[in-house]
Amino acid sequence: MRNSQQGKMVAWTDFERATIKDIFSKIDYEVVGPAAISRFLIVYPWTQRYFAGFGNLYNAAAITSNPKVAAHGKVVMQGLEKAVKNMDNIKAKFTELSTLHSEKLQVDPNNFMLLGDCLAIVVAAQLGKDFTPEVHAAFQKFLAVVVSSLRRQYY
Amino acid sequence: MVKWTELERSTVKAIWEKIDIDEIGSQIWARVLIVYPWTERYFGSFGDLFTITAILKNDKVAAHGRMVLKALDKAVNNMDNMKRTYADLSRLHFQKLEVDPDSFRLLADCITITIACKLKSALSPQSQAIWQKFISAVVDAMSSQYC
Repeated sequence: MRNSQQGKMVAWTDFERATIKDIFSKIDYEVVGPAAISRFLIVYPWTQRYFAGFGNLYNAAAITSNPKVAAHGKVVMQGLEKAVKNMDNIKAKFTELSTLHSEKLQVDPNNFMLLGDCLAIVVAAQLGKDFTPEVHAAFQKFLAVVVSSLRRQYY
Repeated sequence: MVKWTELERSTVKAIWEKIDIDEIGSQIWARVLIVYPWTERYFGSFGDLFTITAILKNDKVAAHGRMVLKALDKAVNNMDNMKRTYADLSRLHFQKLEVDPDSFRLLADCITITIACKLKSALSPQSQAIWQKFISAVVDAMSSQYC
């Protein structure tokens, strides 16, 4: 019997695979993760409601120096690294994470792309002119697949 | 009307001063067409958009990007009056060009990313928040004449 989980796989070009791996090898998770989460909480302040246990989030300075925010940034990067290492299987790899965000954390799934947008901005700022339109397109596609996988277990 | 604090006004102007319209303008449009390829449907008259290289070398693409940034300059200088400033442009995009207004958001994202590439860490989280508020107001103004 056919494995019903197989379905349609995302098609990645060689350029896209190489680009995603290259980006993740160049960025410092300890810097990019915290920076992306800080921006997310500052630029989209309603998201702070998900981090009530994080202590002082009262202003941008507090957010960027909050150690729990920084730690969570690193957790997110480790999650993304799983996707980078399993680009042909992101949906399956993120099933539990998706269920967690839906059932336990009750996160509005529209927020996933907002975090993705902040991550893109941080990566763009790090890579500067190396974040060419082609690299940007590959990264955007990767983010879209990750977001879609995280949304999958809602409903 | 959108309310702007003094900090927001000065931040938007400070970011804008750092942008070279010619340099940045030519890049943003290429990004839109490459990252969101369905937008090519609006540019049948631009010639060769078949490959990334062609898009990056296309003079009409570059010129269009510069034109868009010159229009954005109007918003920077009329932050209290964006809807009126863009009413005609909005009507043009709705009635004549028949552009999906979601495209304005995609363009706004590409402008923000191009600025991030250029300014790097100088685009602090607060500056990013202020810039995104500004560009969302522009997107709203451009969508305002759509029924």
